[in-house]
Amino acid sequence: MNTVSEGNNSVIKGWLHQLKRSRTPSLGQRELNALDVVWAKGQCSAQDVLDELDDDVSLSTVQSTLERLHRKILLQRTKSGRAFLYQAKVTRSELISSLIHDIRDDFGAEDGTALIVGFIDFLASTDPDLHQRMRGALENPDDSDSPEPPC
Amino acid sequence: MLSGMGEVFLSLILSFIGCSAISAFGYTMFSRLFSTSPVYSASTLSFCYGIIPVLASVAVAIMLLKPHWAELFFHEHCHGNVCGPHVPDVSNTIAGISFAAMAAMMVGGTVYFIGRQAWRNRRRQSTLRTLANEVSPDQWSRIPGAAPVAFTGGLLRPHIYVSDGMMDVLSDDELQLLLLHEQSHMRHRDPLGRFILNWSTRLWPRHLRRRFLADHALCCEQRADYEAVNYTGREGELLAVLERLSELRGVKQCEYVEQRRLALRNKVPSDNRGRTAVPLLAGLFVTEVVLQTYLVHPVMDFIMMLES
Repeated sequence: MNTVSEGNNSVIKGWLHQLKRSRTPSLGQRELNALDVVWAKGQCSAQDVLDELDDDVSLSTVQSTLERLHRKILLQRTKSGRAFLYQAKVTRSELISSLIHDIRDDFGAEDGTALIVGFIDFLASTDPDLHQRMRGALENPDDSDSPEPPC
Repeated sequence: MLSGMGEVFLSLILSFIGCSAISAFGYTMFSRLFSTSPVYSASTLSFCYGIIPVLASVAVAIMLLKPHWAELFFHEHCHGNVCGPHVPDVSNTIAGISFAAMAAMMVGGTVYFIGRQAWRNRRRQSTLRTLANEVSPDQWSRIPGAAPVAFTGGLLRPHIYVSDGMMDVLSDDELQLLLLHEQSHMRHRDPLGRFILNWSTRLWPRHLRRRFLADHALCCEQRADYEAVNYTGREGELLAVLERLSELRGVKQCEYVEQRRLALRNKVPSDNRGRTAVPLLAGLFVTEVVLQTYLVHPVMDFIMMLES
């Protein structure tokens, strides 16, 4: 009976998992181009981004693109005179890690036994305790607290 | 039109639940068969095993809608000479319409979730490819990061990603082996296969599903190892790479790497019991179709009786 209810729970959890919001916001090509400029420059205004972009776009388009990135918590901004100065809140590497984490989740996080191999660092951002345990196990393979015997 | 679709969906759902149960609880027996199959065919066999419930439930729905096709399995018909589709007429009663609407919503919801997940995956892959540094067009890209990571992503147009950390750890020859391994995943469209299996085994009990998906992933890795070694003949080097990477991994992976090492050493099992896998899979498919046609039929009749 217990097994049946566990099975039902897993099916329901599986369905609910599909409704969960992804960690990484979806990004359009223009947003990615703008992010590239901000990463390269460190801190810049909308005018600086416009100067670097190859697209034939207006300043207000760039401003709204940066505003969207700010709302997606990928950029932070500070007021400088009448303009905003934008700075990246995540590095390219962190954004890629987050994307890979989402892709891994697409294939069922609990079932990704083979993929987990390469994802130690990506797991860290989700569960710091797990990361600590894994790092501890690697550094102290003879530790008796380790849940599995070392190889 | 809607009621007609509802009838089909209802028979599909009932038979899919039954077929999933048979496949899930029969997996313990079949898993031994896959482990004794040659490494180059085990992943294909396990994939076929995973999609049998889907194919069988479609076949059962067809049998119920076209009873004369079922004469192949059932010679005597339960209704004598009165032969008609074994589906409830849902257009007349509230109960019937409710059954059909519920079934249609379940199938529609499943299709929506599958499509949504595929679309999201496509967007993520596209973003990842933009952010990564493409080394070889349509083949592989570098991604920043110190962790030694290499993987193949993308459902319809798979692409290989190798992290800077992985490139620092490997020599040029080892990198070639790694890329050949990943190309095997790309050629066989393993991400798409995993995506399909992830959905086709959705109704399996959790522990069996986890075990099946993990076994299938291992079979895919073993086949990729085999193809990389088969191309270069550098078995020892691949084993050394696996050993080195295992040092960077968690303790849980030790047994996993050991299984891959063993699979490379025993490419084709000596007793070759894997030969029996194809007829056994075909047998399982026929069993599921016959059994579910036989079992779902009275359920459909019962629903018809409720409505009358």
